Amino acid sequence: MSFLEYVEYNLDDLVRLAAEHLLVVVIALLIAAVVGVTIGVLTWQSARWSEVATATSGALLTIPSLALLALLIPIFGLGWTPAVIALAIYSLLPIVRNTVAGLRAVDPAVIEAASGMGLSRRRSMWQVQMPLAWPVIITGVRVSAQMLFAIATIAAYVAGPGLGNEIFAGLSRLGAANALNKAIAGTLGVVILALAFDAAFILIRRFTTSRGLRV
Amino acid sequence: MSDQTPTLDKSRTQLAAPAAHGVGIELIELTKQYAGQRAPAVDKVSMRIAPGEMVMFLGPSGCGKTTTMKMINRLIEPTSGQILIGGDDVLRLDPSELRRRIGYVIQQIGLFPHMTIAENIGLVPRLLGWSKSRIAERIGELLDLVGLDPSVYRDRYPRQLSGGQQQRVGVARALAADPPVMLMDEPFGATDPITREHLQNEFKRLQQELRKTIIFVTHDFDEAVRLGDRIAVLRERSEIAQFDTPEKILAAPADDYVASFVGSAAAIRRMGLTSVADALRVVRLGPVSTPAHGITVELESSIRDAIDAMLRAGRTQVDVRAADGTLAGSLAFDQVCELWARAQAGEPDVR
Ligand SMILES: Nc1ncnc2c1ncn2[C@@H]1O[C@H](COP(=O)(O)OP(=O)(O)OP(=O)(O)O)[C@@H](O)[C@H]1O
Ligand SMILES: [Mg+2]
Repeated sequence: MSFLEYVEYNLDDLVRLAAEHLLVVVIALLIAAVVGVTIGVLTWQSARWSEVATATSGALLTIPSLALLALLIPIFGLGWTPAVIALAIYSLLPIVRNTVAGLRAVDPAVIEAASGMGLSRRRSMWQVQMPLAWPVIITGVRVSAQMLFAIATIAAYVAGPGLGNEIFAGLSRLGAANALNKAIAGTLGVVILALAFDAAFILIRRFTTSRGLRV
Repeated sequence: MSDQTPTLDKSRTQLAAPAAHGVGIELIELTKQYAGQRAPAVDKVSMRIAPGEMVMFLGPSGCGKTTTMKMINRLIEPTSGQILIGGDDVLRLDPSELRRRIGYVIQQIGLFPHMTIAENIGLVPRLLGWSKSRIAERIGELLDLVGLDPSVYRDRYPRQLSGGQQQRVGVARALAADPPVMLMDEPFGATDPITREHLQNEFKRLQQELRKTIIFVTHDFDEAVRLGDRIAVLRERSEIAQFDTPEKILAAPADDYVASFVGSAAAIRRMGLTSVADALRVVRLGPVSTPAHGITVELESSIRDAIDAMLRAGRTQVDVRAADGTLAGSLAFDQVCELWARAQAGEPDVR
């Protein structure tokens, strides 16, 4: 069976796996964005605490993925949960680092004007500082997304979702019929997803950033 | 208090009249000691500012002007002392609510780049719960007031404006909720001298209508003279070297330090504050020159302009044209000298 015939024959399965892959990445990203931005907002003003936060999320990123999953299985079992958590942990660093950098780059004069006009700290954060730091923060999320599409393949090891299942099924049976086709189809699928998502990010960034920052 | 005595300058008299909008400010032994510094940045400053009065803080860099000002809206917490605004003890009020009632223009302008001009100006009214239509109306009104066409600028973003235009928006934003008190930290600092003078003149006209109680920080003596009802000349630690009307400071600097700010040509500069019409309260115009020589000034011109006209024509008198275009009489150089002498003598009517 040629590669194209293989793809055509298994299209339904491949699309389902790709959809799962996308979903697991998006869920992990959303969680990491909420957690990472919160950590950034809480620590950006303190040199020491923001250093602790970035160093810790950096250290988490160096844990080998299989080891991290192995650690998570006893707590969360198999399937989606450990996969999502592992991916969220891996995407923290770019998000935390960019949140801190983005908030630090906001002109202090603008912050002073905000509090001088009577905005509370919280209001100033949501209405002024966060929107101004947003282009930098969303870039951090984008970098995380790029990483996650590749890393998400290992979810298959914990019986999780995604194209990893296709790739590892192929790799473990190399030499058998269609094994190589499987591995290639899975890998190509990951690459295509990642590129498509990246393109979507350009639009997301555009729509979520004030026009005043683009003029 | 000096702002209640009659003055030569008509516009100043209007300004000093009891204000409908402003409230008084009183600083009592106000002190700020920054942590880790030997001397306080502001040391026991006491000052009383009348409702509707515009007071200029003038002093060298680092003397504590900004620190003093920011204690008033509590961007900086005083170490000790008291601040009363309209009789209320500021230190007992909620800082955010207090600040919504004090217009604040910072030196670096600080417009919000992600908001349109309209959104920048409408922010505080929105916080105060004004209706949408009232906010929209107010934005148009304020843009008109600061000389920006609402239909053109309303929906622009700050980065699409020039520095001078941004400063006007900064002033409009501070005025948005019609606060009785304004704090302005070198609001026209970032503009070239010509735009600056233009903004100063516009602001002066504005203040004559609004009569807010204003504290205005500046490095620039000419700006202080042009705009202020009174000038507080400050030295290190915000110590008040002299707190008086521009006329008095020009005529009688309290000491060498104040004199160094006044600089040269004090007499001429002071004559720039008095109009011919004002001078008529002290001196009488002579007969119109015969034969007519065509050198005239308006009643509203300053004495400084009159002296300038005399010098340029090489004559010792100049004819004065009334509002209806007829010649009202002539002003002679001797009379200018008499005016100056009586002002120097401190006659209450000739300040
Ligand atoms: N946050 C701070 N911490 C410590 N010292 C400060 C702080 N802010 C100001 N100072 C010091 O307090 C003094 C007064 O500062 P301030 O900013 O009030 O001066 P200024 O008169 O406004 O000067 P300029 O005309 O340059 O704006 C200065 O010596 C300054 O170094
Ligand atoms: Mg200052």
